[in-house]
Amino acid sequence: METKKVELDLIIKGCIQNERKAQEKLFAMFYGKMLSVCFRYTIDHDSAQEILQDGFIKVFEKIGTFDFKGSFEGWLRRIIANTAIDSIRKNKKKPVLFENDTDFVSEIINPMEDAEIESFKTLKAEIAMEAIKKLSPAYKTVFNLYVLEEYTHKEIAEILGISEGTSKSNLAKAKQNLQRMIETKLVKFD
Amino acid sequence: MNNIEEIFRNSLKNIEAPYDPKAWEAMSKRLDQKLPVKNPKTSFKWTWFASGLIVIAVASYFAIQKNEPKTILADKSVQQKTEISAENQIESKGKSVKQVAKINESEITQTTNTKIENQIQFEKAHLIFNPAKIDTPIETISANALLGTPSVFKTPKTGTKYCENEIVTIQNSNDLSLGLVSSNGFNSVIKANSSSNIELNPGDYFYSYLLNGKKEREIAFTVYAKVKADFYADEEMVFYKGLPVSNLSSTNTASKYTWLNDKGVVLSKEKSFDAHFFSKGNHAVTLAIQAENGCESKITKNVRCEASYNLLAMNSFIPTSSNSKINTFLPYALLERNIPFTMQIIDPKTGQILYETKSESEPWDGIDKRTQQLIAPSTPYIWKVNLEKTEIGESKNYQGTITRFED
Repeated sequence: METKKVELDLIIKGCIQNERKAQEKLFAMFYGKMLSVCFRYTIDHDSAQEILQDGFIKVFEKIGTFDFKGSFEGWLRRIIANTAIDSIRKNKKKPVLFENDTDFVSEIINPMEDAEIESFKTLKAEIAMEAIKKLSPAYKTVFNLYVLEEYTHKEIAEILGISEGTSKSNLAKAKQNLQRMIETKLVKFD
Repeated sequence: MNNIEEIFRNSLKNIEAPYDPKAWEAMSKRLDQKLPVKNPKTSFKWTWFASGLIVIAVASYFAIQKNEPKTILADKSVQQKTEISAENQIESKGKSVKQVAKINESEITQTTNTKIENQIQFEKAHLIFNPAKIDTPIETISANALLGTPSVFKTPKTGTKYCENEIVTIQNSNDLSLGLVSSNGFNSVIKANSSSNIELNPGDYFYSYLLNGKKEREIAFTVYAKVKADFYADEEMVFYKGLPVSNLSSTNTASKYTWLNDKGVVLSKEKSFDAHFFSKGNHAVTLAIQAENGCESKITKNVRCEASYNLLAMNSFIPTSSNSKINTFLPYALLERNIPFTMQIIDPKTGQILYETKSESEPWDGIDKRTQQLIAPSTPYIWKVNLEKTEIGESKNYQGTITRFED
């Protein structure tokens, strides 16, 4: 077993005991990654920090239910992402104006040639973040959940209270918009 | 279109904002509200114990004062007031020592007796109440502080993980006792400034100690169960590519495997491997494993080899036969193993070499190179093979006899 895994297990066990030192270590360990998750759903630093704190409170409350079998980071990430979605819901009555199911027509998408996209091997993380931020809340949320958090459309539909078709439609349009940003050199690839 | 997904996924996969320590400060404050760290009941007891000590200290002081000449000069009412103040102080946690002392002072000025001795007495009483002249509220003055014990507890420096049956020395360099408890039911106290050797059993171990009247608990280390190493060997040895093969396989899945022979030479680092045993008898093989939890275990077993290996050489041939498989002589293993060698055929009567070859394509055809004649039948000749490259545990030299049979 890797030392890191052992250390993490010890920290988690400390958190289960509600030990502040362990909680601080866990917070510091995942702060950077989880704040980046929060950033994808919000527009400003303060909101992201607030969501992060709410998320970690939930994590510390629920950490006793972690079974040490799966990936802890995955478990943590889901709680943080769900907190972000809850936060969007709370802050606005109709936070994400999801489009009607009928809007989804995959054929309308005119993607870049695969070969062209293939040539873009890497995309700077900051630019990717910037591009996602430029998406509308509806597209951004579905794109985050589907592509980055790897939820299924069915799960997204349940989480957001929309239909699967709407989820697919929003994803397709999010991707289309991101693609347009690439084409118009709004974002540049290395 | 999925490429877009991939590109964004890859680019954001490892994105990490820099850590801001202030974030934890804010987080910690919220945690104090949402998930306050509970003080165990024992700390409550300790608070009362500390309070009791103060009462005893005050009472003792005045008992002593009564017997000293200076106390005779003191106004009795001041003593009584002071005692009452001490009790009040214990009961009303919010008040500071300093505040109580000030009240006493004002009360003293109201008394008619203003002799300097009273002032001296008051100062002494004040010192007993507040030995370190602390402005801190009484509730934060711990039993430890009153007893002159340190305000910091250093938990022993140990590893974060151990394995079953390991013995660890826990050094408690504090002036306070240290408790060591485990989820497996283990419970021990290591006295102040002493050490203890503890044999570990699987479970989570915690340090427990009383500091500033609070029971503190910290995860110490985790002890993992040992996975006992064991292996099995193929019952029958087989020959593969000219070599004797016995498959040995660990019965447990582990993260690391090390197979050793009786000389400590590493035979393999795989879970299962083909071992080669060349001589008849028992061969001690040790398997050391490191389980996935990091714990190590090893076992040594004898693997029985039923027959010595001699390059799979036949002991007779028929040079006059038309069958190419039997009309020349070369130990069979040399055809399979593809290793550099030298083979000599020796006349047992004279010790002279009558044939030598280094190539598997030039086996001995039964001709004595000295006379260019076919050797006599039914007479055993000696063959010797020297290998330039050998397997672990294998001899470089082999020998046997070869006899010509007539067709």
